[in-house]
Amino acid sequence: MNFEEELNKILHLIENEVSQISSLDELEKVRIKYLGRKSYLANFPSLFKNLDTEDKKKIGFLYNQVKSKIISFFEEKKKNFTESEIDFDFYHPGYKRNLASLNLITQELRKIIQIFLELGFIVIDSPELVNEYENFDSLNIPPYHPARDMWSTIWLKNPPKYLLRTHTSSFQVPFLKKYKPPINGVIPGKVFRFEATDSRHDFEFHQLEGISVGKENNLSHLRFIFEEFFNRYFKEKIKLRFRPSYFPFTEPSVEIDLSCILCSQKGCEVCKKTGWLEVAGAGMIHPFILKEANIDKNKFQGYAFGTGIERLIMLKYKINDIRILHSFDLRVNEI
Amino acid sequence: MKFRIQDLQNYLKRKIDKEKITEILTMKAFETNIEENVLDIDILPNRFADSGSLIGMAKEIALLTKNKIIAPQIRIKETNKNIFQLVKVINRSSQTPFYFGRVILNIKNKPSPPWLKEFVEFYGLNSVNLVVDLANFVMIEYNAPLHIFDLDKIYSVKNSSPKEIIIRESKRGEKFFSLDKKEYELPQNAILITDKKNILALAGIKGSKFAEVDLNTKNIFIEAAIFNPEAIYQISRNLNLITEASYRFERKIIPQRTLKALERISSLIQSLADGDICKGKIMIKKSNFFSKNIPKINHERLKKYLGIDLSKKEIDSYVKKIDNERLDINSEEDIYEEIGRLYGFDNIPKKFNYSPHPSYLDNKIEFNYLLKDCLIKLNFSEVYFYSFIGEKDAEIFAELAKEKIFLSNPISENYKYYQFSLLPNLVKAIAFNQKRYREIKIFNLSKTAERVNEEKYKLAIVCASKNREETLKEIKSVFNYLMKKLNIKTNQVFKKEKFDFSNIACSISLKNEKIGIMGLFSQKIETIYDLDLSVAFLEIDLEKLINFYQPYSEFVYWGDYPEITRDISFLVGKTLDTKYIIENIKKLKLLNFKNIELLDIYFPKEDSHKKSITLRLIFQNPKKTLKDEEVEKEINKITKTLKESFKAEIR
Repeated sequence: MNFEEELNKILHLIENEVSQISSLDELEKVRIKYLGRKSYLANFPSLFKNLDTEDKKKIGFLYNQVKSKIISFFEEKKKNFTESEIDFDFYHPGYKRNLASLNLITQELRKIIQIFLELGFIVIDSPELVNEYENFDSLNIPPYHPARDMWSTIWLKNPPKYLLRTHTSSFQVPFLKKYKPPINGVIPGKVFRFEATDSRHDFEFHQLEGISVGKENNLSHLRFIFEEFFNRYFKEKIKLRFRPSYFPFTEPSVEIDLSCILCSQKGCEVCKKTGWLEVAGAGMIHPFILKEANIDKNKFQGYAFGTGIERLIMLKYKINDIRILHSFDLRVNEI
Repeated sequence: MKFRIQDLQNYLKRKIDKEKITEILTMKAFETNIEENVLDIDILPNRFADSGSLIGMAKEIALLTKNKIIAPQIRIKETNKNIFQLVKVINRSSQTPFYFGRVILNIKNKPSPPWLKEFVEFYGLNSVNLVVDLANFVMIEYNAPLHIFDLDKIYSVKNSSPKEIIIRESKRGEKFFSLDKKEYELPQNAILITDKKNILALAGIKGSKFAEVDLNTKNIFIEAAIFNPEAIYQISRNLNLITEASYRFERKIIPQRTLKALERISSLIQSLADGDICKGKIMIKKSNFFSKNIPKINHERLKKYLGIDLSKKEIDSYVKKIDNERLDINSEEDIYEEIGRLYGFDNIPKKFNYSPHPSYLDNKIEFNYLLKDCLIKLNFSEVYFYSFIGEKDAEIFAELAKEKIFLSNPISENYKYYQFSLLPNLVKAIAFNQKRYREIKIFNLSKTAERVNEEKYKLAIVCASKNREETLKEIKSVFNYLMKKLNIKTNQVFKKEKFDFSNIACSISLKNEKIGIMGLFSQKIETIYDLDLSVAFLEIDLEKLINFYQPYSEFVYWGDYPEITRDISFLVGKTLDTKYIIENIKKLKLLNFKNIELLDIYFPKEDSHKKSITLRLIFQNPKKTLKDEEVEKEINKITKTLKESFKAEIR
């Protein structure tokens, strides 16, 4: 076979055929016929593979030249045709997709955790089933003290004196024993209360406990951290208010109020016309707790705080019933 | 506690500015709300002793607003008759540190005048008669619960004098009959006020009928005492009997005020119900009144502790203001708190503090993030539910736990157990959502436990469709994806299991360690939970899985020369272990062998004893392009083995 002649023949044959094509569809069909994977041209190299090196090189070069010319015929021809019109309304809804999503509490908790990571806190996991010592006694809440009534408890039948933690503070002493000061940490998690439910209370919800112990950590540092946290979480410039409170495990204890983000402190239903929202309890860690954790109160001091996650989510999204967040309903994720 | 402003005003010289006082109390003492002329003040347990009363609150207001206190009038005219001729009190209770008393004779008891009736009713008590109501009035004034006995009703042997009142502690099972005629079976060590015959009062909690003061009462014994707050708390909780008195005793009582209250009630009874106050009073004191030494404070530490800058002079002026009757101020830090609140916690400025260490996320929490993110990529949604399981569900899924955490006071029948598996609630979540969502692919990742101190995070995943086989394939592909993303290359073993809730199921093991279960819920479950579709499940114990997790795996180069793949389909006996067949092929010394993949397994309808397996074999040589003939030779070795060792029919 004269490979040179053969290639030139193909070139002219295709040039001729392409020139007579009158539609885009037809052009594509012819293109596949001559340039497709199973076409004569595609398999042509196997015909000259047994030539000696010199000839193989020559024919190979010519083959490539012819092939690229043919490709350009098709491309040139394509320019002669304009794309055919179809009707499409861009208000068409597209296909409905089932969007996978994290539960809203998870989504928000991640944001909250991220902020505390950025503020220099470690984030630690902790148990939900604890004993009476961890939940109460270690926190300076002795048995038969009326402060115990501040946390109504779900108890286990067995073993005795075990319970579902009523607050994430149950991990304060174990935390301080394990992560020695100076240390900043947050402990997020579920907590449980033996309580009748209503739109603002549920028997299971999430808290985030914060602990910061160092040489001189005090409420002024807590104020910085909290202002930063709320500004970042609500993406708004907020104000804070510290007022006295009582928790057996902090001394002094403060209640932290957030300027009402719903009414910009003009007074609304949610803030009960006060302009302030109660969002966290905090204080200086009581010497009793430091002692339980074998920390010398003359060397170290620090603050602790606790906040309810659902409360923050409800404020952010204007959700008026906590039970919505805790239902099976997948629609919650779509908020 | 709710206070009428008019009542507080009686004890203060200057007029109370009601708008201002709400704000000041809230910022410096207690959360306070105002409604018309009533202050609703949330006095927390540590301050109830000093502030849970009109005089206490007036003192607090005086301190915060530079007002002055007007002390209540006390005028007592004693007669010559000595109290000790009439009453003898014997204290056999170690839990009664202070017991004071007076006797008044010849009183004229009557219904209360309207102002008093209104007063006691406002403070949440029932109006009974003048003497009883005055006792409650004084309780509200001083936060000192008093008890008044009809002296004539106290039993004594043959009317001998003095009558004996014995304070003692109960034996287990003793019966107490309260004023409202209820019978209580007492636990051990309840404090009792008794005569030689009857229990006159359950001390600090409630009186009995036996020495009740009524309109005919002439002669009275007034008790002003302090009982161990812990004992009162314990007994009132034990009997589920919480009264105004027990509430106050639990929160401690200031002894000085109790003694004052005794004088005040005597003075009031004398002026409003006549009567002759006997000379002297019962004064049992097991310890001294606290003569309080204000603890020493360190000025530098105080400033560091509160984060505020105060001069020595300022600090001293705050310290001077501290009331020595305050029971909650005992330590150095208590003083700091007091100074802090008077200065105003809200005046503490914000200050930046460097974190002493880098921050990081707990391993477990990070692992949970990773798993949840994987599932989102597979189009699964996370569903929330409470961490509890009801009796019925616990029974259906009983095989999943050897032991269960049973709650002693569950919220309801539906929440009797702390969850040991996430599957029961996940099934319910499907039933709840199936009508609204076309495709059900959901998961939950939460803590579970069978025993305390052995909490485990579990991950449970379910998906649903009409075709049972397709559903199982879907859940299996989720498992494969997770293993890939966690870089777990450990040998997986799937052992067939049968459960009450699943006839088609398996346990999953990695390196002989069981890490979870997978399967299809049985029709029984579909019926019980009203499921529209066939549901496949996967539940994994994450405490175990995390041990196999590799954060990343080593890079394997894909090679310079093309791969040649060959698919082989064959029929073998249904019961043959697929994994065993593959392992045998891997053991053959095949040339240029790169990998083997299991493409499909199905069960042909034509032959119920057989299963069809399709394997993909991949060959590659790192140094050259492989020729078909070279691969063909190796494939022949495989088909030979399949035929000889497994009686396979190649298709």
